[in-house]
Amino acid sequence: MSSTDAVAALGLTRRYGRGATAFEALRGVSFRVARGELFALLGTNGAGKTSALELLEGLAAPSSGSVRVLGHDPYRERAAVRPRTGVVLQDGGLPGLLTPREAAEMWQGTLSRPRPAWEALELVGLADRRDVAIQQLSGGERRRLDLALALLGRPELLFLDEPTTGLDPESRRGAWDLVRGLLAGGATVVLTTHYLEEAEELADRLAILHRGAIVATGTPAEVAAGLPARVSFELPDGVEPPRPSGEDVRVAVAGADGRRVTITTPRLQSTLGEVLAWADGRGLELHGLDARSGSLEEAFLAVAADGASGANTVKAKTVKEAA
Amino acid sequence: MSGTLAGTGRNSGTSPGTGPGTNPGTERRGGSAWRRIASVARAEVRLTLRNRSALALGALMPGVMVLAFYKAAQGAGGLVMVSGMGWVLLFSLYTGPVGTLTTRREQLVLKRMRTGELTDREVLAGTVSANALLAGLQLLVLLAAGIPMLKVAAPPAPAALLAGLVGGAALCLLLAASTSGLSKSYEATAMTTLPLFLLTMLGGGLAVPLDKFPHPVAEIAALLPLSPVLELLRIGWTGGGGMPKALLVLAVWLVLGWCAATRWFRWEPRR
Repeated sequence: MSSTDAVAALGLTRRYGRGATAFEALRGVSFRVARGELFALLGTNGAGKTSALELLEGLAAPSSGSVRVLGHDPYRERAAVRPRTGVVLQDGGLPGLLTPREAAEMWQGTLSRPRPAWEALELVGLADRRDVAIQQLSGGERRRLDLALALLGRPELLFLDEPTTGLDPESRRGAWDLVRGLLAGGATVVLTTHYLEEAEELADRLAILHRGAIVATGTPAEVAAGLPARVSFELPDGVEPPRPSGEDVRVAVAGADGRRVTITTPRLQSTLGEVLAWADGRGLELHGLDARSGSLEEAFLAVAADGASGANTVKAKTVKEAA
Repeated sequence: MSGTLAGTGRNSGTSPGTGPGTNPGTERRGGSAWRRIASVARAEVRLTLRNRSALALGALMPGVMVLAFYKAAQGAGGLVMVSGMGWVLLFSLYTGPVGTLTTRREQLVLKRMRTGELTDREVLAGTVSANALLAGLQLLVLLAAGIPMLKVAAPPAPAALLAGLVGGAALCLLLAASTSGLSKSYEATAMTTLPLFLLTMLGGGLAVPLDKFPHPVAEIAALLPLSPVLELLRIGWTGGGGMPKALLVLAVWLVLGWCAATRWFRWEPRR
């Protein structure tokens, strides 16, 4: 682990249960998070995001593999790590009969170098709701309270498990601004999300998790660049689809009427040139012609659609981690 | 919200807050454990005071049971004190904590508290602290009201009394942690706490004194979890022998209770 790493996870596995009912939530997950960066774990529900995050938070020990957080084992050396981290769990964890102020004061009393409770509530815009029972807060307000408590201990490293799930679009942007402010101040953030937009917007680097394994990792641009581009159009009547050159170029014909051609290629420009030349040479007009480079969205959709094949496509070009 | 949050950028100097010269992880002063527990305890006491009906029930039950037992004791003040202390242990340090631990687990409060600087034991201590305070108050009321009203003499064996109270409190809390692990929800605790309740009521000498049982039954009843606790309290208030045997049985139950709590207690809801 380099001294600039806030988190180093190596070969993490996590199994629940035993014997026939055992479930492997993580199967060999490795990644590093440098100090000062925002690292996003992106994935659909059940991909293993929370299972992975809980190992970093030190709530559980991995079944195998190792994890270092700020230079320590977060499970065995909990006391050394906890004063420096802040955690937003996926849900709840506050009694509904307390008020935000009371909850913040309670949490503050357990921390070694807390900021004032009012300051934390103000940071998330809950100052005017501080005396309302938590059970009367909206889902979004509760989420902001979770964030406020995570910020109370002035953490160097924040773990946010789906911090904006349940927020309306405006509140989500507000939360993003808050997170950016924390990064600007030097904090490191590891967050999980199933919102692609959130990862694209905030992450310096990200990993796409699928069925307990990382299928792609890198900067958002790198992950997108590792994906093949697509050219698609409606196949005119009476012709066979073109065969652009290259072993790694694939042609598929599908669609409602069985005439939509989709060509996936790692070389968009040359493949597109060949397709256009093919059409010009035959005097064809290609309806619905569309050409696009690989995007994070496609990477994610390929995984979410869960063709095992889709996952493999992404895996084929997994970007090397750049520290 | 966005207005306030947007303002964060402005004060980002104060936001992430790794103050210079922070000494990671080493500053765990001796008194800070108590400070952390007290902070959780304050919140628990608040919550208890806000749940009036549960508080009223929890506070009055031991008193009601003492009154019910009063006639059966036929004026034997010492035995009334024994039964009163037994009910306080059972209601406020067993049933009460089972409910609190189960509720807080299902609310994910226990899980959240484990993400911070509190140790696991501090989380547990803080969570059951309101129940423990209530038990302490009830014992004080019992002593303050019982001694003059029942004309009870000073306990002849205070050591046995103390051993019964301390050991009984520890055993009840261990069994409460175990039982909460076996309870799916707060509602379910009405059923899961019943076995110990019935066993103690019937066999522990709380309702019927043990010497009213025929010989072999009494021998077996003396081995039930809270029997040694009640026996120690009885020795404390009314004198008599049998303290070594009661202490031995209690020690065995404390070990079993510890094993059960380690085995069954859960920090998070079942998936």
